[in-house]
Amino acid sequence: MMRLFLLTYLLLNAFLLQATSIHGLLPENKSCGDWLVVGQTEYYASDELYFLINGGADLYLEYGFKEVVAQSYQNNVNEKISVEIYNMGSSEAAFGIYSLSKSPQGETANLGDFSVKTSNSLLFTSDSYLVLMRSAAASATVREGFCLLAESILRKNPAEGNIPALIEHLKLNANDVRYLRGPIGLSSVYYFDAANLFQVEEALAYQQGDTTLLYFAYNEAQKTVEVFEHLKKMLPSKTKFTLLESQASAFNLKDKKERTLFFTLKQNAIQVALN
Amino acid sequence: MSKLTRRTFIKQASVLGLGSMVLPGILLKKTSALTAQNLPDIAIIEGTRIFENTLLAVERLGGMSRFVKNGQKVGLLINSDFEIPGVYTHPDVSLAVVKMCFDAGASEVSCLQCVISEYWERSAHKTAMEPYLTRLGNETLNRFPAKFENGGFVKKEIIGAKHLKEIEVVGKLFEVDVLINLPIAKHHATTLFTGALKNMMGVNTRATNVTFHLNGPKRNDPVYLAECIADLNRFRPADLTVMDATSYLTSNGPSGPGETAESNKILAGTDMVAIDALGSSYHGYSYEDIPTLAAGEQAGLGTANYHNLKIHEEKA
Repeated sequence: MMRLFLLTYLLLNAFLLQATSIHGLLPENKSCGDWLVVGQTEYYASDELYFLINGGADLYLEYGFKEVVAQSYQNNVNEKISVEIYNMGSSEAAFGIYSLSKSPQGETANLGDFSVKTSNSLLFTSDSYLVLMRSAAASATVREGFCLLAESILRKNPAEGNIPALIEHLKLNANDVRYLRGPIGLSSVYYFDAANLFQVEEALAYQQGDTTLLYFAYNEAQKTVEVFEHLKKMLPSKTKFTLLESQASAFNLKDKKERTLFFTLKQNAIQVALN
Repeated sequence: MSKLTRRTFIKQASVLGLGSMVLPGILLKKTSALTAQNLPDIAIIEGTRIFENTLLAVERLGGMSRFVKNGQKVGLLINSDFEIPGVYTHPDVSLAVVKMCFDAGASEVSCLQCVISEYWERSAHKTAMEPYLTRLGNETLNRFPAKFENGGFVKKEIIGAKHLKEIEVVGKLFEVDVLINLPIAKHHATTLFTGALKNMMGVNTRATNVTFHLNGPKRNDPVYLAECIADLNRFRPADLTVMDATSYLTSNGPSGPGETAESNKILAGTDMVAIDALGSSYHGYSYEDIPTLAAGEQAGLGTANYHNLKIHEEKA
């Protein structure tokens, strides 16, 4: 009797763990039409991510990546779709990776919180999860498969996420910004230096006409001033920059591509305008 | 930067052709003199015919027979493991190099890092090059995420290394006489640029490469990473580098998707540091932006000051 109770308890625990873990988000057989599970499920946590992503794991880790589960699916004409579900730890972090990774050629897929699709990929966020689907094929059946698999994941995780508060603070459209959490993400927008000169906590990059605006927000006013003063001293010493003008709370530089950079010290923020 | 013009090249080729009819002994001496004095250090061919321009770039260096002798074994390191154009070395570049190696008399040509068949399908020259592809070897055990326990790798010490004292490296590397590196000049979020020097990480297990990122004074320390890359290249420098700078990723690298740019250039040469300096200059980066350039110079792998080299540039 005791053994039966123990066995039931263990099975129930295993079921609950599966239902609440990241593994439980993966679509099961028969839930997505012809698309069936093929191959082994892969799972990676923290630094193990380097064994899933060939170049680029650093960026995910900069945003606070927690864990990922990866699984392939195949239909009855042998087309394959790979599905990767990343737990980024927060909806803001999931949005950040999404904002940097979305294809410039993509279009919205109306799935989850944010989504973008191309002929052979689908990327979307759902709360703290970032989901990436890819296929070597670019057929109508694959595109249909993307939707079926995505809907299955969203049925299991219907929660909606928050966008970073900084976006609302600046009254921007989330679809038009890139949300940054560190120097690796920043280098995809503009490369200042190998060192983390901005000591990035969080930042936004967005367009305003022909100007790219970078807005670095800090928790403390004193740190903001220290970073700004350090930038004002360090950047003109780099061979790629020429100092044009310097005042107490603003300075201008020109880079080797003849772009002008306007730095402005604000309340708990530094703004850089790239022309 | 000195330029070898098309006219000069044709003139030299004509002289050689005439000599071969008259006195083969003199021709041999004349060829040696040309190799030493007149051949460029780097050849850059600009144009949209990638396959043909790759052949031309190596031809301008003196031809593949300068690097591959009859009966030698060749190892190729191709940056092929991605799906989006501009993120991988164009297969026309790789196919042209495979053709030249076999035509030069190589007894064996192998990809030191696994190249999947879909990669070759992306080339319009694939069918014509089928006879060469059927002879091409492929290290299938060195496939991402390459693991030592799966076989095909050996542990090696690097004597005199700054950081990288021991590596797990693909065993096939020690069977080849000639190593040809085939990178693409693209953006990399951590190192800003990945080209010839960084592509060499493809001979290692993933576990070894992770140490480049995590064993430094801080995570992803760009200088530590660059010095590990230099250690690796000093261990086995490539004999020839052919870089794809035709269409390449300029953001969200190394895997994309992201913005791309086109220079329509193929670069060939033996100085990996100079080729990386040129490739990164197409992105607008300077010497101080790319730590692998300084690390490569300090390791004696070449010079980033390509202005002091003999560079042949040609539009084709």
